Amino acid sequence: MAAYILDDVAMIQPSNAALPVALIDPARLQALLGPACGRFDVDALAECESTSSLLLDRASHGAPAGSVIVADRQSAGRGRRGRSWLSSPETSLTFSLLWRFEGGVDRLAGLSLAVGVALARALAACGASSINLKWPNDLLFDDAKLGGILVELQGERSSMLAVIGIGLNLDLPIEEAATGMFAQPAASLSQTVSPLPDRHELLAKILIELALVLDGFSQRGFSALRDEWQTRHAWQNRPVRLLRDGVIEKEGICRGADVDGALLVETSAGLERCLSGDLSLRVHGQD
Amino acid sequence: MDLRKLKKLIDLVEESGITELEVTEGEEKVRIVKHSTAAAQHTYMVPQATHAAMPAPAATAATALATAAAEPSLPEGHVVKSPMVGTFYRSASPGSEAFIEIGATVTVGQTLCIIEAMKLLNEIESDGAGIIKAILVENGQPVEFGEPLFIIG
Repeated sequence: MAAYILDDVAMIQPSNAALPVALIDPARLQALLGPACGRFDVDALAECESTSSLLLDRASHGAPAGSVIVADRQSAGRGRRGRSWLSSPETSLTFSLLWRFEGGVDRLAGLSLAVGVALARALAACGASSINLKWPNDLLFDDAKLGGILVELQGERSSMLAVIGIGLNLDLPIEEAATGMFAQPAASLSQTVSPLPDRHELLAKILIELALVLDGFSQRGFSALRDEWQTRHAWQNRPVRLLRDGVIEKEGICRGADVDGALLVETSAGLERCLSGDLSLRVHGQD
Repeated sequence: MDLRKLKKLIDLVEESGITELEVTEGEEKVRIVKHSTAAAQHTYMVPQATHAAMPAPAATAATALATAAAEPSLPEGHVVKSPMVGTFYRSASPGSEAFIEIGATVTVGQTLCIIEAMKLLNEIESDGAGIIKAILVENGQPVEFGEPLFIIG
């Protein structure tokens, strides 16, 4: 598997860790896309600041739906609200996808959750069946974050432009995980699938699932995916707290996602819907 | 005085060591009294608020609030409204510069703010041109569908 070759290269020649062998080859990727072949226009870059920023810029110059930028290294990858996202070819897969949806923003409720379903399906198809989803759209393995999604929207004349940024941990450098440089517990695909799937096959499976899910979402919204999201929900019926800017906004039992993707939390006031905030598990004994 | 401002004041009282705060702004007067200084539980009781958002009254550090609110007058102009429910952000990321400030000249299509819901970051563009007369929501606060965000004169 290419991943092993990569690991060998990295071990034998650590100073050459960014050898072109790590790059995604768009032609090889297209051949793996099967039913989705021709729907994606993939550009592979050795390095860029942020694939989403670059794609938003290209969108303003007319880049079509299905445009993908995958970068082996991102120096300024963004998580939600400016949280940084590091990436290197040995340890992660980071890319952004441009998509367009007819109608207004009201039709996009739950889009980030839908993308999570597509990723979970693709990872399951690669042998990682125990990946779960955290509201709104983190991918978890054993309650630790394995992947993140960030969707940026812009209104167009009669449609919405979405740039969907995705980052997956393939293999975590042990020293980084151990020294706690991550803001929250981190997991990687290597913990659940061995050997790691080839990067081309993994990206192809993700794009195939994204095409299916986004087509369905355009037609029927999140409601058609809700049951599947619930079955993949990591924290169903577990005690959680929702924070906004570090302040606890709600505490209760997590009941998953509503038909429009809103978080459902059962608090002392009843079943409440939430649209924003950071969700965390409420550990026994915590205030 | 709007609810967001009140909430901010309540937060201030809760986070500080003081037990009482009185603010007078024109004809409005608000007094916030903290009944207990027990371990900070960030819960509020806002008598004017409706149903679901209210926590159980059993909370030990509940903050009682009384207000006689009168809507302050707003400058005239084109009102930019929120197209969705979510959280209002004035900049692309917490450390970065705000998209616009009061007094700025904006054109149609210029980004004014971001509204986030369920990790969808929606860039809100101006649907009018002119000078920003008022910014009606504070950074990081929730907004409703159709809620006025900016006044452009």
